[in-house]
Amino acid sequence: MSGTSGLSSGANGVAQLALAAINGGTALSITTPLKVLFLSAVRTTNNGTDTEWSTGSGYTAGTGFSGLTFAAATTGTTGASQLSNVAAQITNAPAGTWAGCIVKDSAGTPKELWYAPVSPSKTVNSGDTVSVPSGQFSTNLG
Amino acid sequence: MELVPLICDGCGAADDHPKLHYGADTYHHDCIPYRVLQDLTTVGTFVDGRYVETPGVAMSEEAAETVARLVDIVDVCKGGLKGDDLRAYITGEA
Repeated sequence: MSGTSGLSSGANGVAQLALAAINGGTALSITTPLKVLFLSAVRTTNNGTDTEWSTGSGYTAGTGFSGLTFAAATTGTTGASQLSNVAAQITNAPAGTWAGCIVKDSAGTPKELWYAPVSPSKTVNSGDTVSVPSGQFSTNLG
Repeated sequence: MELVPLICDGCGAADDHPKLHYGADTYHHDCIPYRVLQDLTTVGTFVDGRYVETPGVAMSEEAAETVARLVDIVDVCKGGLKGDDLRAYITGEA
């Protein structure tokens, strides 16, 4: 994953919730498992909109890949970072365009966490396997 | 359904056989490099450019189910199922 990416803000984003929690407000609650949703169009701003793949073949809209996990956080001079430690993949993908992914939690109204584009976007044929390599969700604050 | 020929970054062939999209890379299921298959099937991370499994950490149940399906596809592809036959096996439209 590369290109413009970030922490989602806006109606269902967590950026403002994280800020509030850090600054002594309401604790931020994230419901696992984390889900990776695959997109045919990716937002260009943190509070923008995406277009998710439709349900079809081996893909279920709103669920995508369920079970994303992260390795322990590390710290450095520019802040803290955390890398995903499993590949997020869809077997038997529907035909279309893979432009990026967004990570959401499993709350009733899912919270939008991180988003990132695939650059350049890729054409996917029906039956292909689509995978975000382990470590490619490289998240950081600082 | 129109299939688009895609280039395999393993063997270099351009065809419409089912492939793996591994980030920016693309492979036939029987052309997946060892390091990539290891990444796809284990819990771990890259340390200084080397893939290192994380000891004692189990993959989530949901992720393990997906891995099992992928390994099955790789196995049947290595067993000789290619092209439309492989796609029919994957999609269940045989």
